[in-house]
Parts: sequence; C-alpha cells; structure tokens
Amino acid sequence: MRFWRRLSMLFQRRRVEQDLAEEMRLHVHLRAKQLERDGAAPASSHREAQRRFGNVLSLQDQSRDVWLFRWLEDLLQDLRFALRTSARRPAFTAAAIATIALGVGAATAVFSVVDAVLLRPLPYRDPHRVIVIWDRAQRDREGQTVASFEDFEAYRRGAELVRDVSAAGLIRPTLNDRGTRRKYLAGVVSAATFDVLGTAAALGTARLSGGEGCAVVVSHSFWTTALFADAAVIGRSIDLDGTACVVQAVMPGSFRFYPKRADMWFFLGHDPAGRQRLPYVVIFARLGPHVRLARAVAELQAIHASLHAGDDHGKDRAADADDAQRELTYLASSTLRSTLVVLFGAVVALLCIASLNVGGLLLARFAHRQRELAVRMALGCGSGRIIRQILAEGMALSLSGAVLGTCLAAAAVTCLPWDHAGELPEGVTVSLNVPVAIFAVLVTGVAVLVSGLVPALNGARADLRPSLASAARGLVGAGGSLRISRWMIMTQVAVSFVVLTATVVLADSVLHLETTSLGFRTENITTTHVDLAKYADSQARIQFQDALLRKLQGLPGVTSSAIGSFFPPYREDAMEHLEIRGSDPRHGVYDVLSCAVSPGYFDSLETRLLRGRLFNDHDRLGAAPVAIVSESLANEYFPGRDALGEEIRVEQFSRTSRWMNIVGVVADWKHLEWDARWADSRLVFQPLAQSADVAFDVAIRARPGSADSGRAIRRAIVSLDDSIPNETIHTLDSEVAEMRAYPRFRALVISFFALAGLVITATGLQGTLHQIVSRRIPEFGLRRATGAQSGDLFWLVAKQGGAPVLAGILAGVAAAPALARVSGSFFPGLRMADPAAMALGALTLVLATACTIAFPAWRAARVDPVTALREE
Amino acid sequence: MSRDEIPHGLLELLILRTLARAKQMHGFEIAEAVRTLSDDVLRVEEGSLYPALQRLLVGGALEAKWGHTEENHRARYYRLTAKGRRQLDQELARYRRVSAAIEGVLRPA
Repeated sequence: MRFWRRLSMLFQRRRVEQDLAEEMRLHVHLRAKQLERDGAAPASSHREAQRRFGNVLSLQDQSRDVWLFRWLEDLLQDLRFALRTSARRPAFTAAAIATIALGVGAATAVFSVVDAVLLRPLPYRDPHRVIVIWDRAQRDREGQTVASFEDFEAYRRGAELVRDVSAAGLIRPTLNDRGTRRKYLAGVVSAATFDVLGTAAALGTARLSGGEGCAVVVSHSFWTTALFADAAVIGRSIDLDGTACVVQAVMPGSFRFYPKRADMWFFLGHDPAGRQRLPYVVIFARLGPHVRLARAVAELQAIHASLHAGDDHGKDRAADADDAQRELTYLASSTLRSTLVVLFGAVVALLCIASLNVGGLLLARFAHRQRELAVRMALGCGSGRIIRQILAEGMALSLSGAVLGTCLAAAAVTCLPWDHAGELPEGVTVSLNVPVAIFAVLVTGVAVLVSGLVPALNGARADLRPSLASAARGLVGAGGSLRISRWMIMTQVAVSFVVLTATVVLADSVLHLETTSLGFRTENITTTHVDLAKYADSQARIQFQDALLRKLQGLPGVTSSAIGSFFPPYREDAMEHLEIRGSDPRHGVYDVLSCAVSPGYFDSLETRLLRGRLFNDHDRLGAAPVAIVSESLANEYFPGRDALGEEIRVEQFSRTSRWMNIVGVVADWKHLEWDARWADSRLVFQPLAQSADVAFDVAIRARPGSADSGRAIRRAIVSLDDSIPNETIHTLDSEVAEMRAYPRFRALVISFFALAGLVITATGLQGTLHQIVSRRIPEFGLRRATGAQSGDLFWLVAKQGGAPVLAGILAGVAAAPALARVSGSFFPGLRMADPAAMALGALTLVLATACTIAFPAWRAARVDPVTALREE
Repeated sequence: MSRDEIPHGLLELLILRTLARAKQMHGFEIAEAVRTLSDDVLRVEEGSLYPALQRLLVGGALEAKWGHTEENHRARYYRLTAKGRRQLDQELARYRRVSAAIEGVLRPA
C-alpha cells in the first residue's frame, strides 16, 4: 500500500509539489494576517511569518524525501557523474568496456551453443522420460551406445518399469531414381519407436500401416533433396535396394534421432531386405510414470544379468541407461560434450579475469582519488553515498561493456554458419532465446558486481585522516586498496595460468596428432566404396575384384592400386574377438579389428613388413587360410615368442572365421582414440581372395598432377558393371585432415580465450602499476634525493608487480591436481597436472607480465628528484 | 529565538492527537492547535509540520482533500483514517510507557 501511494505520488510529482507549495504559501499568508491582527506592521508581518515558518526550500526538500525514491534520484545522478568522469578518460574507458565486452560476449556465445546442445529439451513428447539403454562393455570400450538384439528382446519382454522399449539400427540402402543410384543412411526402428518419441510427422503418419511390404519414413532433408519436396509423396513408391518402398511419412526438419544425419527410417521387418533382426541396436524406452532412472536401471541390469549368466564374456557386461539427450549428443559425437564443457570453463574463466581486471583498474583509480573522496567525506558525504558513487562508475563501465558483448554474441550466433559445424547433432539450431538472455543478464550481473562492488566496499572503508594527511605530504600508501589490488591480480594470474596450462595440454595433443607417424602414408591416394551385393557367388566377386585391380593398374599416372575392407585412417569401432589355437578361449578380448586386403595393399600404403611375408596371388580361396598381424597385436598376444606360424581366428557378430596361420607381421598403424590421441591398433589382415567380402573400398595412388583419379576409378568400375551404385569419392589425406580438424579447432578456440585472458591480465597489471607509480612519484623523487639508485626504484616497483604474479602462479599450481581430477572425469585428454605444460604456462605468464611490469618500473627508475619534488 | 528540539516522532503524535479531536483541519489550523495543545512550550519551526504531514499521508494515517476556508482561500484539509486512529493509540501507549520509565529514572530515590 505504502509503496503504491509513493509510486502514485512519484507519477504525479508535479501536482504533489504544487499542492505542497500552495499549502505552505497559505500558511505564511494566514500567519502574517494573524500577526497583523495582533498589531504588527503589514510590512514586517510577512517577513516575521516567513521567519517563523523556516526555510521553505529545505522543507519542501524534506517533504519530497518522504515519498521520493531518493536512491533512484541519487543513482541517476551518480550515473551521470560516472559518465562524465569516464568521458574524460577515453582510453581507460574504452579498454575497460572492451574487456568486459569480450568476457560477457564470449560467455554468452558459448552458452548459446551449450544451451542448444546440452540444455534444450529434445523435441519429443515429455523428453526427460525418454532414455537410451546400452551394454556397458560395448560403450566403455568402443564409445558406442549399443546393445545386442537379444538384449533388446529381453528388455521388451521383461522390463516393467520402462515401457515402449524400441530399437534402432542402421543400414545403407541404395536409391535407384531412373537409373542414377545413390547410397543413403537409414535407421531401422521397431514399430513403437515413433510413438516413444511422440514427434508428429510433417506429412503422413509415422506408424506401420499393416501392409506387408517395405515402408519408409523419410527425413525432411531427404524429402527436399531427393524427392523434390513433393507434397503428394505419401503413398508413392521409391526404389530402394531394388525393392519398391512406400513412403509413409515425412518427418519435420527439427526431428533429431538416431542415426545422426539419417535420411530415412524403416520399420523392423519392413526394410528393403525384410530383416527381422539386427546385429546391434540402440535401445530407446520411456520411463514409466513416477519411476526413477536408478530403479529402472536396476531392473534392466537384473534382466541383463539373467540373460548373460552363462556367457563367457559376461563378467564385464552390464546394462546401463541414461537420459536420451545426453546419449544422442554422445552418439552424434563422443567428444562434443567434453569440448563444450571445456570451452564453457574457458569462457567463464575469461569472464572472471575480465571482471576482476576492470575491478582492479577501478580500485587503483579510486586509490588515486582517495584525497577527493576523503575531502567529500569530510564535507559530510555519507560513506553509503561514496559506495554508491564508486559502484555507479563500475556499473556504467561494465553495463556498457556487457551490452556491447551481448550484441557481439548475438551477431556471432546469428551470422556464424552453425549448420555446417559438423560436430553438432542433427536438427540442433543455435539461437538466441530466453535461457540465453537470462544467462547474459546473470553474467552481466556478475561482471558488474565483481568490477564495481570490490572497489566500492574498499572505498567506503577509506579513513579520512590518514588519507588527508598523507595526501598532503604526497606519500600515499593507500594500504588497503593496494592489498586488494594485489589479491585481484593474483586471482587473475591464477585463472589465467589454469587456462594457459589447459591450452598447452590441448595444443600438445594437437601437435601429437599432426606429427605422429601413423604407420601408413596417405598422400595422393583416392578411394571409393564398392558394394557387390548383387553378386551372390563369392567366386564372381573375386573375379570382379581381380579385373578391377588390373584395370586400375593399367591407367596412366597410377602408381599403385589396392582393395581392402577399409583404408586408414579409421576410428576403431568394429570390435572383434581374437582366439588363439591352443589357448583358453575365455581369455580373448573384443579388441581387434580385421581387414581383408589385396596383395598390393601394404605397398600402396607404404606399410613396412617386419617379419615373414606379405600376401601374394597364391593366397586364394582353395589355399591354406593365412593372416598378417600388426606388431602390437603380435607383442601383446604372443609375448616372448614369435607370432609367425601361430594359428588364430576372429569372431565378429557371432560369425567366426576359419583358423588362419600367421605368415607375416607388419608395422603398427595408429587410430584416433576418443580422447583425441593416436593409439596403436591391433589388426588382423586376411587375403581378400580368401574372404570374398561383399562390400569393400578400392583405392589408387596417382602421380601428382595426373588426371582426376576419382573419375578414373568410377569409369573403371562402370566399365565392369554399370549397375553398381555411385559412392562418394574422397582422398585419404582429407580424411586424416578431418580427423585432426576437431581437436585442432578445439585447441584453437581455447588458445584464443587463453590469449585474450593473458592480454587482459597483463594490461590490467600494467594499468594498476602505472597508477601506483604515478601516485608515488613524489615519494620516489624523495628517495632519489636521499640517495636511492635508479636500480633500487626499478626493483621496488618490479617487486610490487611481480609478487602477486608469482603468488598467482603458485596458487594455480596448487589447484592443478584438483582441477585435473575434475577435468579428467569428463575429458581424459586434458591432463592439467602435466608438469611440462604447467612449466610452459608459467613461463608464458612470467614473460608476458615481465614486459608489462618493466615499463612502469623503468618509469619509476627514471624519476628526476628535482621535478618530482617540485610537483609537490 | 531559542528553540526546543522536538523529540523524534512527537510532532506526528501531536498532529494525530489534534486531528483525532477535530473532524478535519488544514495545515495552519493544525499548527495553531499544536501550539495551544503544547502550551507554547514546543516552539517548533512551523514549516516542519509539512514534512511530518507528508510522512503521515504516505503512511496512510491521514487522508487529504482540497476545500475552501471561511475566507474562501483554497486549503488542503486533513482527516484521520482508521489506520491513523490505530497508530495514535499505539503511539500514545508507547509514549506513556517511555515517559513512565523516564519518570522512574528521574524520581529522587
């Protein structure tokens, strides 16, 4: 009530003041009349009435204070004053605003990505109840959130706490559109999947219509590109893998699901091949009402344990489940989450540095103005008013900085091509929205508080007498504010040190990615995929492969050609079980990768043979099965003995190879681990002519400058069989570059933040020291006059600046083990406690700050006693 | 003119007490009534009545309405609200408590 009365008076301010003035005039008038009646002269009666009334202006002021929001008036006044003061020092003001803008802008921009990827709910019905279930052994070792089809069936039958258990696997069907063939990525999902997600289709209904044949639900991008956004597409048939498939529905553009960038989805049993089961699936389900995740996981684990009780490899397998959002992010890119967390940490650190920095500069500036403040306090200005005024200066600076920063972030978010940022999950759009705006406001609040409040509270503690007295003498200690300045510099240095160390660690891992010899050479090698699904006979496939290699070898400019199940580089994702004849099969682990290769494969990739022999043309279907293994496999599985002559077999998706005799050992290849490090792969190579794979890669190495290799390969394939679908053609070099791109991008971004932090810290230190030196020039002059050498003064200032820097570095070093534990839990590649990285981080900081300390110190050393003392 | 400082809150109490007896009064009438009521002992700077009136208005103890005096001057008339009456009772009770305590201290032992 009281508040509203005040507010309504505030809005009718003019009227209220007029009323009051009229009332007061009447009072004086009536008093004068009364005095006249009592016999006073008319001339003096009015004066006497006024005298008795008191100071009209002051009384009006007091009345106004009753209802006016005094602090608001004061605040506006303070802000005006702050703006005027800031305008007088444009360089300082610009630097402070730019610093805050950088901090707030970077934090807001990165947060908008964090929000889009990690925080915004998936566009599903009741999204937080959708979970993903996987086999822990699969995920730990391979970074794949998958489980076997048996697991899926067991959960669907047995689980009571989760409902709508559904599965999704992936296949690669070929679309035949009037003779042009292209491969697409498709998911195969169980009938309940779209109901679990609860996303409505943009066209048609994503539900099995009961028909027998192939039915397909297509993505929005497939609909626009391959089906030309045909509005009447529902019910039409398209030719996939030679089967007529009826288009059931078109999903909306925002639909996000597994697999990432899927072009279409089939219902299980209704894909082109009519598959009833898949080797491995991603399992989705919906938590039952009021069921907590932990309880559901316990139930799933019980089902899993009873299913795998008799298994050989059951001991490290267990069911696990988590929120679908987290897992879809993980499926899109296993490193995205950690990348974002690291980046977010870096920008928060940068924001801290920026706010502390501006706070420190303001503090130093107010220490400079201590005398002015002391005089004002002596004249009766309340300390609350002083605090508010200092706060207003900090606010004026940081608010303008924050507004500028938010604008920059908004520009970055709207202008940057996020759609092409490959690591983002499909359907995620980075945009400015309410949570981002709230975050920006919060971040601004932090910046304002840190940069304004610390100097303000310190200013309020200013003691009158010492400042006035010492100011008069020109020997200002300003002990309190200096101590706080030191603390602020120390904190900045510590945070800066941590970010620098993280940068060094990441940069080192990038360097390691760039320079490590991978065991193969990819220069000038062009490759494509070939699918011989229509060749049912293995002998026919082998003939095709031989003919293709002969054709390629004869091409001008081609120095070598080869066929293999895959070509490096690769992420190790197919996990096979290796068994050694004569040893206990239970000791086998799923950690080898097998590859069928043509005889020229190793020569093409320039991989060295260490022992034994390579494959030759005699290693064919009828001959004895043979294998070549990589060095690390030989060393690990055959410790202390020669692998040559041993017999092994590999098992993949419950398909076991024949026993193979090891005839050669080749140098190790490296693959990219999920924490962005190269690691030795354990590889088993088989002769191509003994495995007769249906699908394989073919590659040629051409002399630089020779004709288009991709076209040449394609022509060779078509000349043998023109019904084989077109596949993308790429170079191995570009694949290696792509693998290195994300770690490099991550290191680049964080080094930008580290550099910004370093520059801010260094300039802040310089600014603070500069102000201290300016203040102490008379003192330095006195010292010179009484015999101090210029070197003494140099060290005096250098020590003042250097001490908090060293303290900050020590604090950072002390915090490193704890930080390493935290960062290591989500990002194993970030070894924060690495001594070499810390040393390099510390060295960078020392060098950068030494330069900024040297300048004010040199200025102090050059003080001329005569000029300095005359200034006083 | 030597002037006795008026204790904090006492002016408000006097205004409330004055208005409690009359139906409504304008500023000058209140000033005169306070003067008579306090036997001229409290020689207040007369104008300080007005900030006190504003405080009571904002607090909701008084309400004001513009009217005309007998000499046909435009004047703002104040009257006590129900809340003002309650406030008067509370203030009086408090004042009596405090003054009794002070009496007790000053009474010769």
